[in-house]
Amino acid sequence: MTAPAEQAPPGSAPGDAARAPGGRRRWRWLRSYPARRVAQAVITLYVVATFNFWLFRLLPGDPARMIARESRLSPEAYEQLRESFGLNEPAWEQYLIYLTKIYRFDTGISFKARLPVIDLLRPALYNTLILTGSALVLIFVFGLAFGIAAGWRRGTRTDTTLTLTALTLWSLPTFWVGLMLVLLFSITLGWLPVAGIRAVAAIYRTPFAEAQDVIQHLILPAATIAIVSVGSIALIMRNSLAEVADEDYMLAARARGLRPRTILWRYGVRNAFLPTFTLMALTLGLLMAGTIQTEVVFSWPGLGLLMYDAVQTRDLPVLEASFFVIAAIVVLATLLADLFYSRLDPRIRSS
Amino acid sequence: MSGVSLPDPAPPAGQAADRPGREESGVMLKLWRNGKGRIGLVLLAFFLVYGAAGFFAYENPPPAGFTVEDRFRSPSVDELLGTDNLGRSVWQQLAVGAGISLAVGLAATAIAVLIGSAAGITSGYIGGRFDQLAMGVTDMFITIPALPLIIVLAAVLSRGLPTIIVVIGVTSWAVPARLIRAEVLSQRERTFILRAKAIGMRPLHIMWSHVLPNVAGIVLANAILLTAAAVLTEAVLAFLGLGDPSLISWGKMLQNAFSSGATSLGYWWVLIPPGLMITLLVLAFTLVGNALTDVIDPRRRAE
Repeated sequence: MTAPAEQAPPGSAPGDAARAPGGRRRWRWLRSYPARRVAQAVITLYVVATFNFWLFRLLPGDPARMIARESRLSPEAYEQLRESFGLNEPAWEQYLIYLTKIYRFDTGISFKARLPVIDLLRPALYNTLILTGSALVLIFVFGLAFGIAAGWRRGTRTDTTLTLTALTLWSLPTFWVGLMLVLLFSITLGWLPVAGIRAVAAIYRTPFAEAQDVIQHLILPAATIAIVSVGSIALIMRNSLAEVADEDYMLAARARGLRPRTILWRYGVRNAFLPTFTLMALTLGLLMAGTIQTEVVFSWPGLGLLMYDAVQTRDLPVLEASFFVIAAIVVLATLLADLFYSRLDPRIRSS
Repeated sequence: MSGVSLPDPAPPAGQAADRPGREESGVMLKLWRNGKGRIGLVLLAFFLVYGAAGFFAYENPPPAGFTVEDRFRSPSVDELLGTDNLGRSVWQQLAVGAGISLAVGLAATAIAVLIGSAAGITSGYIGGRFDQLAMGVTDMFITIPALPLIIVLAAVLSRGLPTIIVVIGVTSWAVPARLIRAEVLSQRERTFILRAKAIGMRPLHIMWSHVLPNVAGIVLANAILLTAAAVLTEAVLAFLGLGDPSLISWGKMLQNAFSSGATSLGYWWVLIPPGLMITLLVLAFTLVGNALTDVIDPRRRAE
């Protein structure tokens, strides 16, 4: 889906693309797949930044009053606020200043915390990556295992059961799964902590003790994200395996009398893995959606919680910045996955 | 989809194939024969009736209880599912919430499919540079993570049901647009389209009367899956406190429960039922959409 736009000249059939007479040879690389793909990612981030800028100005009411959070403001203080946030410049000038600030990672000051936004973003990003990364490992292991099991026994009862289970898991609201896990494992059974990333006011004697505490807090949120996403990964793996199963080389392998296990791993899974990998990159946006909900339920101090708190307190600089960073993570991860995939499968570069 | 008449569980075999004129009932029949489709249709029929009943039977939001004793009453004979933090009946709120979920899901999908069809059909039919540009924009919308975008929009715009519907609708048109464009590209060079062009039919007319009917099946299947996603998104937004503050929905019920500390108190009756309802409704749409894709996808039909 993130395939590049076709290069076909008007009227030609889609498919015989990319051979359009391409100017001088020096600039040929600009038309290469990686170059176009990187350009697309940069443009996407630029659009997100521009969207952020206009959103801020589109708000009902005066930004300066919003920043002050006070309707009664002395005229001098009001002017000073407008001046310090650059609200008196013409719109296009503000826009240019805004773009250079993003380039310099200058994200402004939080309305609420009165701290540079970047100081809030950095630890949040780190915590989100820990959570999402752990969830990703779980999703990878279980999703692929279930998918292979279902795809290999296509049409059997195992397949039907696994497919139905996967669809049901996909239908679960992530935040509710989190609430249910808390209700069961933290409240009823008392096995795991309810929320947060560390025990309150904890003092650790060793780094090992701290890691142990963080992992205990990590289990439920990571499981929450994984439970909801594991179904779609399993389904993607199942379907690519099912598609591969009809290929000639599979028939040939069977005709040669290879053991079913060999056929499955050496021919089936190996060939089905690549399409699974790209499609998995496409679910990154969904994974982020799951992370935001999970962070709210478990008070996990990551980007999602930061964004949620910013919404509650109408802290616009934080809201903008956290949205930009989340979008950037997804755009860059998708870009990397696409580039990686195109190296492995040359067909994608010419299509 | 009006008048979804469900045939007998075991219809005489080959009935649909014998009558080529009744394509529509053929699809419904195949859907019913598909295990996933059957469960989905039954669930969907239940929710349509339940949502309508809830809409007419109770007011939204249900009146709050008046005394402290009304708060968080556990399930009993006269209050089947207990009460919430304001002493309101959970049973009534569930019934009322069904209507909201269905309305938001269907309306948002209608917006997404309208924009998606317009973009996909135009782009695929015109082709060339326009197509390149349009698909570049579409890909951008596919890459930008939807939920954060929706949260930002919903946070900035005025709170209300229309905002939720529009925001979900305008952020989810990209996937249907891509899908429809691909279908249009494969249809564009077919003989009947070329023939229509040759006799001088106007492009708009060709799109409306020849291209659209041929892509309708795949659009419908995708629209049903989109509805499932829209119902989920509405629940998430309501849970995050971005829903319509004056209306009760399943997500809002869970937000009330979460923010009033029902989780730590172990009040399961305000936590389990709304989530179960969301899951079942989303599952209903997912199953029907999935089964419909199986039924109309020619590659799988060949099996």
